[in-house]
Amino acid sequence: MATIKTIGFHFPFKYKLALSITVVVIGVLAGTFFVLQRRIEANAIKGIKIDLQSTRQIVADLIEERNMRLQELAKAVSGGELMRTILTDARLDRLTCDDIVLNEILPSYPQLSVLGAVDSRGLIRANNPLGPDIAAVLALNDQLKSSLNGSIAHGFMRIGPNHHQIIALPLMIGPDEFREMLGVVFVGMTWTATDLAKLRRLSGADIALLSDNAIVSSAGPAFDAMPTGNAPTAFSGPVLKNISSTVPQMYAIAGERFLFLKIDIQAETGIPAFAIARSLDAQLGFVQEIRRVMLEFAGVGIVLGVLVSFFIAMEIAKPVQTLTAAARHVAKDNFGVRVVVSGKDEFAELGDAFNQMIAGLHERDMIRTAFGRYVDHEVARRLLERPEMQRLGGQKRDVVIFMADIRGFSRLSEQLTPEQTVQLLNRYFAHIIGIIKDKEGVVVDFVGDGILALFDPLDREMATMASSAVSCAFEMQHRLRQVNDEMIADGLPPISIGIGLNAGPAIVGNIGSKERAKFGIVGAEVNLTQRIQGEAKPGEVVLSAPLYGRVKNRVRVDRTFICELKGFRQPRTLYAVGPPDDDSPHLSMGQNNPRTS
Amino acid sequence: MRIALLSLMMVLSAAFSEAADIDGWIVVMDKSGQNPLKSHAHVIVYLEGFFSEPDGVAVIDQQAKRFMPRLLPAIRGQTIRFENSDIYQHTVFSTHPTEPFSLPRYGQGESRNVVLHDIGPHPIFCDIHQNMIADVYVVPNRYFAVTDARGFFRIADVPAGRHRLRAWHILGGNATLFVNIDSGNRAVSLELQSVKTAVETPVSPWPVPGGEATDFQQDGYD
Repeated sequence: MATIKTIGFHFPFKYKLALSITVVVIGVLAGTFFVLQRRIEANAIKGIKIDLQSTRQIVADLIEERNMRLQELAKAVSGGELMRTILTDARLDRLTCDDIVLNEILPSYPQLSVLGAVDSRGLIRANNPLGPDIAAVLALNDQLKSSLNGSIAHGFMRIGPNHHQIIALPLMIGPDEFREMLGVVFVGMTWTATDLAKLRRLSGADIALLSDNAIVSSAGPAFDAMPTGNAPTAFSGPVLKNISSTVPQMYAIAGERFLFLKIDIQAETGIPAFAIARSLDAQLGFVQEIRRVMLEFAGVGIVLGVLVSFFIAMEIAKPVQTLTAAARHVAKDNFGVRVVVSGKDEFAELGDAFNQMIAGLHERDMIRTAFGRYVDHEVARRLLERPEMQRLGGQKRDVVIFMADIRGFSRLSEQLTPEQTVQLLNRYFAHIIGIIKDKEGVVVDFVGDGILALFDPLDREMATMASSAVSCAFEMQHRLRQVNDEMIADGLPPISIGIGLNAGPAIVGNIGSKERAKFGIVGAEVNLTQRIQGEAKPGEVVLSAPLYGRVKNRVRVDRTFICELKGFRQPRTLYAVGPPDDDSPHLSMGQNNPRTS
Repeated sequence: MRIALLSLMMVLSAAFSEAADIDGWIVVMDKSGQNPLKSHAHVIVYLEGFFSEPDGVAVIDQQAKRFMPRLLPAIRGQTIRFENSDIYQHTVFSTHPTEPFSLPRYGQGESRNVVLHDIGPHPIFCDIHQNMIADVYVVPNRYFAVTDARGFFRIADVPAGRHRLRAWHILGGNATLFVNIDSGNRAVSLELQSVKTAVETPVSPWPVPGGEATDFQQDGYD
């Protein structure tokens, strides 16, 4: 027997299925959400970068506006006679110069927080009282020092606690073709914390005012951690040095991601250097929110997916379980079980097929139980359809009874070994039973070497079954010649049989107890048939008178004889018959043989 | 007394010895010392160590709101005439630490005289016009010259002997050089580094625009 094997885990199918569906659901959800949120974040960062470029322009415009005002004020201050006097009159002492700046010039320019003058050698001639820091600041500041070479300089400067936007304007004198520098006038305006906060509010970005990569002043958390001053620090210097002026760059400050953009000093507009930054994490807050919502959806989706997949798996597994249970019932010969699989899917078809299979097995089991193997399936089916087969006792009706027996078998079996005896009987029965089945007869019983068979007309004419039974007898006698040839070839002795046939009423059906019933036939006609068979000589077919009356036109009568039969009071007329044509075992009229129709 | 004797000896030696010219080239570098100026004019070169009496009047004019010339050499004690050919009034003043002066406002066609004695530059401004600037450089004697745009100068008839030559540029650059004059002309060259910053309008020194000014006579002497 071929065995089809499948390899699998020792894990219920429904759990496997549920697990698979869950994995697929989680995979699809996770993949979708991951791709979605990455795309949203990438697009958001792209937008923030573009936005940061716009912000840079806004801040630059605001700083430039202040720068232009400073330039105008610086020109006004340096164009006055007092400033030239400070820079040219060596007789003026520092105290007087400072007084001129503070009390003579500055009152006319209240916007200015810083005003001073440096001579052409770089020595401070005067300044408003900002303390001595300003000299150090000017000495250190490369941008402002560049003004001593005759070019206007811009920058941010921290003096004490305050920070200022400064312009250093060389004071040039002389005709256009040769203007010489008397010194540098520097003016400045304060950037208060309020100003920076306003600038930050307007631009929406954190801002740092720079001087030589040092943060002079700043507003916003991106720069809060960086120390301010007029010189770069170990912390701010490297960051500010590396920040690009064209492409926003990301740095993490105190665990928060920021996009930085630095704007170097612009010679054309005079805008001093500054840096802006925008918190990526704050800007991507909505992405975080989307991610949170997605995770919630994913969580709910996973739970639902698990439940739904479990439900689906159960639904799919239920018919399988039903079929398994039904198969176990069938294995225990309980053919009454039926599976019910609703729906129109493949499982419903499988259920129907399974039910058909059970019905077929049941029928085959009943046939085997009732008739053994020696009956035509169609005949058995028709017999089983009759009501008497559903209960014990059977029914009395007209049938043709057939009996055949090997002549001299007892003596023959004494001469043979048991194996040869069994071999001989098997070969004989194999041919004989086949002919009975072909002629729609039912082998009812074996009695040693004898066979009791029944030809039941069921819903057909009795004459038809009579012809079939007689034809079966002729066929047997004819086939026996062939069987004998084979047995002789195999070293077995030839045999001869006598056949008796009778027609009459008999009880047909389930005979026996409730625990052990089998198909059978009982009655006086059966006994009579046995006696008729006993009267048949080897090779003869002997018919009772009632049967002969049904087939007399189709047989050849070899002899007619009247004899008393044991157990029967009246003598009976019996007919030894043969086929009309010696060469053919068949009856003369083909219509008597139902297999020929 | 010693100075008077020394001067007398110089004059006598000049009278009895053969005089020679000092020709020279001055290169003026900018404040960084890396780049030469486009014009090497406005350098006064003179001999130190002896004095001579001034002769004539040194004249500086005011035209189109500028002093002409930009650098005026004047021998110590020489009368310096500040003329005004401009249509505007001007007030001339100097912020020299020891010899300052201020000439009240005067108009076109008028002039004022000043006599200065301190050797060295005397920066001159106008009280009204912020762009006007000039330097009157008081020299000790008549042996001086002012460079042209190419930086060329010539001090003629220098008496024989060892002289200290000093050069000063209006941007503050200055240098000294000892020159021995015995027989024949001497050629010298000097490089000055500016102290101040200046912005020059690009002009080509060849040919010199505005004329053939190569010596001090054309720089304002009668």
